[in-house]
Amino acid sequence: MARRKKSKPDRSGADESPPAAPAPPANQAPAPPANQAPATAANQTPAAASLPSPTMVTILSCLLVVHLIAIFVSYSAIIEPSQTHSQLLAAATPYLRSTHFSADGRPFYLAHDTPDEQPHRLQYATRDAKDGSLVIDSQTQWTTIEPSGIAGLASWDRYARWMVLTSTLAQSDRPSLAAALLMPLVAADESIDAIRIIRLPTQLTTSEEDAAPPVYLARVIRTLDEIRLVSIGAKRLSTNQRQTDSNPGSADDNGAVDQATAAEANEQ
Amino acid sequence: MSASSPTRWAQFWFAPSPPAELNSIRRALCVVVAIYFASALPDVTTWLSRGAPASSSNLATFFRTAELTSDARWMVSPLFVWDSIFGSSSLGESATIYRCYLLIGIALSILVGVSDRLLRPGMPIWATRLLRSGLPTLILWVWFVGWANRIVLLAGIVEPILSLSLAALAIAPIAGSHFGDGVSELGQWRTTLSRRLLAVQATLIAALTTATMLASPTWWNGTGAYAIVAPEQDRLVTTTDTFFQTPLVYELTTVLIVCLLPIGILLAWQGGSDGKTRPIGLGLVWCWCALVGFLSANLLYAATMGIIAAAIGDPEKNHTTAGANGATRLDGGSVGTAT
Repeated sequence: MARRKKSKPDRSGADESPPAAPAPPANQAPAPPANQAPATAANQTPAAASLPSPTMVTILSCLLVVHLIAIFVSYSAIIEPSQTHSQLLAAATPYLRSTHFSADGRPFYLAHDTPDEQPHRLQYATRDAKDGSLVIDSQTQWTTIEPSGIAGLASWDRYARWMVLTSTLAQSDRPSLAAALLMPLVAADESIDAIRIIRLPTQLTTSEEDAAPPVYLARVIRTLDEIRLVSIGAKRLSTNQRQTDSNPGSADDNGAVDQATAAEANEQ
Repeated sequence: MSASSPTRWAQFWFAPSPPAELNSIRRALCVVVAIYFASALPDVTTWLSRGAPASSSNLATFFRTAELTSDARWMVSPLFVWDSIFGSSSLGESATIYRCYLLIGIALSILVGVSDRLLRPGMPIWATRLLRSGLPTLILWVWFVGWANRIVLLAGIVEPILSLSLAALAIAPIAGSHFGDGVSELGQWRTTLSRRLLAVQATLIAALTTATMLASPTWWNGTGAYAIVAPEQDRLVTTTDTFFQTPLVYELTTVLIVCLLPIGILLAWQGGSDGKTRPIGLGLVWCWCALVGFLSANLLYAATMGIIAAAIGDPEKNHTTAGANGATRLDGGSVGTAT
């Protein structure tokens, strides 16, 4: 309080301007209202000169409120937005996305102990060098592509995010999107004949979770002019009779899946 | 009461304050942004160049397949524009171009970070005006957003917070450390607006971080801190067979992570009659940032949160707050009518 009684020169503003120029007026003695101040710039108090006009205050206030509401809507939609909340979010998307202000469902909550927080790793398998065949079963030799850099830092994070995104898409019954994300990696190495994404066990996962099948598993089909990833879906628990599993119509991507599904059945 | 409300609002957001007040926050944020850009340099080829998983062409295919093109159109980035213009030529989706973008980003970060020191007597007038205007900060924000939007599928929790912080910082003018330039009486309210926006955004993010954390039972049953370090292959530290596995330790750490942030933010805003509460509050927030940064390996996120939290409250009581402090000082002065 004592400090404020003196017109202490400001660090930045100790300068050529009059001594009181940079001194903030708000908690000093009240500045005279502008309508009582002389109109000339020379006599105008720095306080008055420093303030935006009432119109500007109104406009800026409106912008501030809209901005802060948009941020609130985005960051509060991380868990499970309501229908109205989603509509608000959709309305604010052009602003939030173009400025990258959007939380976009990212885990600002740090941890919720969900499966997608487990470490994910991409693995690949190659054909047997002798007979040129690849059988996907429990004996298949998988090679892990490890993330680069220091654990937890930028390069490592990018790998983790990509694999988590791919896994999320694969588990959302959108294997073609997962394949689109992984295709460049597969195309870059002709020796890859099958890929999978696994979740590594942590100290909080149960043995049942640790024994779960890969999040994403696919064979690589290479022809002369194209490369395809044929996902092999994990069998789901079902009350239907077992024969429905063999229905070709349940294949994920195309006819080649039937063969892969059979291979996976062997694995189990 | 109703008559004084608009005044308090205006005082809170627009009461003038010294432009140099934000110099430390600006420098610290620029260091984080420079590190962020530098951290992306090593794996540009792995992710972003032609044929890589997050190359522009692959992303375009992905968004088309996912029927997300309407959402993707808002992810504006000069790098997308560049890649679409130069398409299949050697300049399109070129790792060299991406590296240049990052290097320019680092240079901009350094420029903005030291801009207050660059302002010296004898500088060309145009350079002085350019720096004082805060335009370099605005350019840095746009540059950063361009990158963050380009790597959108690879972006994490640090990018939105850095973008929000740089945008708020871009509002403020830059004041010289070496000579008082009177920057700008016209600019002083912009400093307050910038600082308040940083502070309110930090508060909002902190509040929603805590709220969303508590949406999971893991933060109620005492294993929240354990859940952060559990994926130890992706963490800086391994806690297996350490004292951290003692229930008392990780449960206490869980409580600290839940409580430190909201209590710290609250104390920082309160200030207290003698101004001592604010440093304590900020200290708690910084403890939270250090703890979370270390355990979750989100170092840049934690650093950014710590930096923008420093904008909360009134460091030297230079101007009033919207709360009790403001009420005691606003005895008739009306900012709204001052022009």
